[in-house]
Parts: sequence; C-alpha cells; structure tokens
Amino acid sequence: MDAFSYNSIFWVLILILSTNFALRAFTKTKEEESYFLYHLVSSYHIIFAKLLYNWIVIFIGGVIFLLSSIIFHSSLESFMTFPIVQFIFLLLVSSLCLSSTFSLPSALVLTSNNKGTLLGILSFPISIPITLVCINLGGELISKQTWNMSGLLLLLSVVLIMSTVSLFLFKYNWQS
Amino acid sequence: MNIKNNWWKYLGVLCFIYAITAGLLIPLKPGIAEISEHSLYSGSSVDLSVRGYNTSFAEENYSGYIRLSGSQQIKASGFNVLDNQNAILHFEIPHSFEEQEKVSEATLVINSPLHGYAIYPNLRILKPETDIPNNAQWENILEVTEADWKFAFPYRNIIVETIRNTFYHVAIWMAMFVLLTIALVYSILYLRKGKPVHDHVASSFTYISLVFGVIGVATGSVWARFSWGAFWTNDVKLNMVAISMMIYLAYGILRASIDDNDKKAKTAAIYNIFAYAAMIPLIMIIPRLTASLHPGNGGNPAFGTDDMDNTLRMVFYPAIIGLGLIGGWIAQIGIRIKKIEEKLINRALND
Repeated sequence: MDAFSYNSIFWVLILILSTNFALRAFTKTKEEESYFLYHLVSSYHIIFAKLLYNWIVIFIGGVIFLLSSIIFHSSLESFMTFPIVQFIFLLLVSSLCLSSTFSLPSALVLTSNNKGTLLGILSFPISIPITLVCINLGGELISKQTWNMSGLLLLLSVVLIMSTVSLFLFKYNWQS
Repeated sequence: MNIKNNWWKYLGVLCFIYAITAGLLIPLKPGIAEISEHSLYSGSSVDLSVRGYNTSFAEENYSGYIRLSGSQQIKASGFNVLDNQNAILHFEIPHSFEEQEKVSEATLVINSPLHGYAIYPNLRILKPETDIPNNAQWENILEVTEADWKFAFPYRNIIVETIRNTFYHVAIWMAMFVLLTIALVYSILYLRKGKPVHDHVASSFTYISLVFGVIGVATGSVWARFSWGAFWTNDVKLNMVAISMMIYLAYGILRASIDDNDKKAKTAAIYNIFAYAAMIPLIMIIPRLTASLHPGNGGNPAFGTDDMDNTLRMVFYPAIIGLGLIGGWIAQIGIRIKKIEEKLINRALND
C-alpha cells in the first residue's frame, strides 16, 4: 500500500473511531451519575470535559494506529519518507475538530431509541467535509511536505464555530 | 380573504408573477456570439466574419471597431452584411501603436444607433517578426452618443439565454437562506421561552426551506446541463450543498425518531441551531477557498458589476421577495395544521 491510499484509509478510520468514542463518552455515564453531576457542576463544565475527553481519546487512538501501522509495515519504502511529526500535528487539530462536531450530536441522540444510527445521520454530513479536508492536507504533506494553510485555518474555524455552539446549546439539552 | 391582514400574500404572488413574466419575456441585448479569428497581426488586413446574437445587421446601420485597452481604436473599413446574424468586417490594422507588446489585448465592438453596443473581449493583436508598414492609423476614441436605454438583459458569452436562471435558481437560494434564518430565530426563541408555537414555526420554516433547497438544486442542475454540459459536476459548491441538504434531512429524521413531544421540540431546536452554524462554513466559506466552476466563487463575488447589472437586479430582487413571501405563506399553512392537530389531541385527551 502506498502512502496516499494509506492516508485516505487512515482518515476514514479516524472518522469511524471518533463516532464510537463520542457515543461512549455519554452512554457509559450511568443515570444516577449524571443526576449527581447535574447538581454538582454547571453544564459548561460537563460539555467542556466531554469535548476534551473526546479530543484526547481520538488523538491517542489515532496516534496508536499510526505508529503501529508504521512499525508493522516498516518494510514499505514509502514510509521511510513519511512525515510522521507533521501528521501527528494534523491529527491533533483534526481530532479536536471531530470531537467538537461529535460532542453535541452524541448528547442529542441520548433521548432517542437507536443512538448509533441517529448519531451517524446527524453528524456524518458535518464530519465528511472535515475528513475530506484532512485527506487533502495529508496528501499535500506526503507529496510536497508543505502545509495548506487555508485548509488548516478552515479546520480551526470549524473548531471555533462548533465548540462555541456546543458550549452554548448543551445547557438546554442537559436540563432534560 | 382579508386584504388588510393578508397583503403580504398578494405582494408575494404579484412579485413572483412579475419575476416569471418579466424574467422570461424581456429580450437579451445584442451580442457577438462568434468571430472567425481571435489573433490578428498588426500591419495586415483581415476579414472577420462575425456571428451576432439578437442583432439585426440587415435592418440597421451598424459600424464595427477594434479597440485597444488604452483609448485608441480603428473603424472597420468594410461592413458586408450577409443577414441579420452574420456579417463580414474588413479591418486594416495599423502596423504599430504606442506601448505595443508581443501580444496586446483588444476588443471588438459593434455599435448601432438603435441597439447600442455589443462587445467581444477576447481579441489579441500580435506583433509580426518583420514590420509591414501601411497607411492605416489608430484614431482616438471619440465621445459616442449612447443609444436610448432599453430594458434588456445583458448578453454574456456561453451563458446567453440561461442568464435568466439568476431569477429562479439564485433567488430561490436567497429565499431559502431567509427562511432558514427565520427558523433559526424561532428555534432560539423556543429555547428561551419554551412555547410550543415557536417550535411549530421553526419546524415549518425548516421543512419549506428544505423543499426550496431541493428546487434550487434542481434548477441549478438544469442550468448546469446547458452551460457546463452535465447535470452534476464534481464541483465543491455542489458537493457542499448536497451535504448541507443532508444536514437538514437529518433534522427531519431526528424529529421523527423522538416520541416525547417536549423532548422532540427541544432536541430539534438545539439541532437546528447547530445545523445552521454548520451550514454557513460549508456553503459560504469552503467554496470560496477553492477553485470552483460556480459563478461567484474562487474569489469573485457574484454581485459585482461584472455579473449583475441594473436590469437584472430589477427582476432579481422582486423574485427573492416573492419567493420568500410564498415560502412564508406555505410555512404559515404548516403552522396552522400543527395548531389544529394539537387542539384535536388536547380535546381527545380531555374527553
């Protein structure tokens, strides 16, 4: 497998990974536990914590996957020039982006019956462009070793918009 | 129907009818569709055969010019009319001019006292290897009396008659944004006040704007078939629009999948705000960052003087108002249906 196809598969995998992680962040909390938390701290703290947790989990998952795939495929010549450090930095930004888009929808689907399907429907339209941008950025890293600044800024702006919206809106969902 | 309370419905229908009739019936200005040669050598004499669009060469006194980017021009020494659409222009191109480069940009202008200008901008004047001196001279452009202003849409190459799609495709998108913004405002109101009416308004407006979006995609697709050659291209803006349509379809699915009315309304309101915030970067920002076939992207705003002119605006703005008001009307009917449903449910519960 060459570096380009690896790049595409990697980001799609990160997307699937982040859906599962984001859903687990909410479903694993027991009802009594969340009732306790509701009285203890404000909703801003909760969504901020979930966002941070998702970010770290997606990032660590991605790094483990990246490193293990490089270790186990070290015979491949194309990985000799693979920009690992830049890739990990891109992963840091994109996992923040994914966690900020997934956190609020995963809180929204808690009230419905089939959570997994609904989370997919709600958040995939938003996360697919992010994945596409990530694939483009990763492809440029591999081929030209340069950063596409507008793509990076786009990711950061998505982070800014989505996390702000999540922080403000989660309050209303948390009450119920 | 009471005119005092429902004046906006009449206004909407009137604007829409005006946009349909005026948009389809008003002719285009004359234009130059094709010329036989694009590269001319200075110092030579050429016969340019010109195919016009909406021109009437045989009925009026036309004159042809080649203009340089500065203030110089030459007049066609011969204007042989074949029929209304076809003519052969004879030009004696002078051998030199000031600031001449290897390739200079020039414009072909055809002028008639009745219909005004038609221009063809992509003309190049090349400098030959050896100078061929001749007697022709560039002359300065004189003040030309403007033709009487006529209500006609501008002629654009390639787009030609499909420029009328501005009134339907672009206007319906604008109306859709307005309706979505109203839905957003009522979603915020629902979260603050918690009245069921606000939820009805928000959901009705979201559904009707989804319908508007589908119509917008359909009209754009038909237009793309004629000007780009395919119903759907892999253009950034088209993909992003498809994705934002999916976001709002998800809104419908979310509403359908929650049973409890209060929870449904709250979740839907939260998601609506979230979806609006997600749609803005998708449609407004990403297509502007990348190269796109779509007019108004890749840096050039679609409302600049190159794309819109006052005759277009005179139909375009009423079309937006008309479509927006009609959308509001349909949404109002949806709100009424929901109110009646709620009343019936309450009555059934009380019995």
